[in-house]
Amino acid sequence: MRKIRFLCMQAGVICSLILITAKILDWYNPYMDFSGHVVLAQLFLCADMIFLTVTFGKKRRKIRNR
Amino acid sequence: MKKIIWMMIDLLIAAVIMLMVWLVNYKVPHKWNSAEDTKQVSIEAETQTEIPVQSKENRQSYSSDLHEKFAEHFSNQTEITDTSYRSPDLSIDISYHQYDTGKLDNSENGKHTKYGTNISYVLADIYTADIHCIQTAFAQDTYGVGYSEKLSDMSARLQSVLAVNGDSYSNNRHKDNGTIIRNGTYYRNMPSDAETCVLNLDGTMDIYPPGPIDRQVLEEKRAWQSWIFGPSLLDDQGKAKTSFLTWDYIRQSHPRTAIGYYEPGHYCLLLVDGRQSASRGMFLDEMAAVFEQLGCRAAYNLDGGHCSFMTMQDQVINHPYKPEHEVQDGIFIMERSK
Repeated sequence: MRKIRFLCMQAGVICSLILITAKILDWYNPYMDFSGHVVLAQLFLCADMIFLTVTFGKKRRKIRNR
Repeated sequence: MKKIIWMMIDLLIAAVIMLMVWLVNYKVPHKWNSAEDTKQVSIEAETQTEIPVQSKENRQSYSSDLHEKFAEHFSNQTEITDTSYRSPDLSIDISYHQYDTGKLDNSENGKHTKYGTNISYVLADIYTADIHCIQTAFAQDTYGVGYSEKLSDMSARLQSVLAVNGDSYSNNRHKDNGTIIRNGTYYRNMPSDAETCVLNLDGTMDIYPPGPIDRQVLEEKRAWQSWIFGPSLLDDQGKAKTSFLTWDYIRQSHPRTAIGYYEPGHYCLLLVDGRQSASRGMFLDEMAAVFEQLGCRAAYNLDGGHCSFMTMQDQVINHPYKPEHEVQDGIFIMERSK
């Protein structure tokens, strides 16, 4: 589980970098619509964050119960 | 140390993904279906209005009107110099201009200040007795994304007299990416958040506000060419606009290409050099002021930056800041028989 969480964190960083780059490129030329072409990264980031938050909550509860 | 390595790996993966997105969506050539192709597929589904073809009588009457009106500009035989071209249907005069604006471009944290305050531009004054002389073409003769070609090569291929880059139509990758009509063919008819410039077969030029454009209106007006980049530079009275419908990056000084309209049959093409000490490029209000001084009734900004090129007899005649590179489309002034 720890490995999965770690990989999800890295994936979150990657998606964030992609989205920031797309925003910067779109500022120069909004017609290119880079943001529209990396929508999957946006969706993945959302799912990733939900997963990390849920699993982080579970982990905290486990620690508290101990 | 491990964290830094992982961060570097993340950066690398993000860069590779962005590169792939760019290559697949913008660089790998793929054809688009034109509105006419789509129309053929769904022809039974809805009643389509025919694209009106200009009747021979109409064409002759427009042509003879313009011949008479601009007779002094045309010649019976083709006459070519370095800066002019005359023929029975076409007259082109090239002039070079330079002035000091006394104004630095301080945008982007002063990145453009090194280019100074000078501006140089090339102006092509065009009279034509036949609107068919104003042609457009896609790079590699293909409507799609990822196709590009040098303007001088396109010009040679089409045997045009004068050419400038167009609006880089395939850069707009939004779903609503506007109306594209080229040489009377409808390639797409989508709404847009930018203004659309339309040249009609009667020689008039209309600039449509953002939003959908009714195809029937375009057909009734016999739309011949359309460009979607913008913004428009003059108001209804031919006065320079002070606010422009575009994004911040375009508002900075840049090398630029624009088309101006005086009256049916009389147009101009403006090519502004930029990003060099001899010419920093123009702000939109400066370009609007040039068109107002020229006495144009409408003017429209096309794609600029490293796409801004003007060729005469297949030779680049402006002074681009980098060697000629490939563009997606162009406007070609040529004899109608070609």
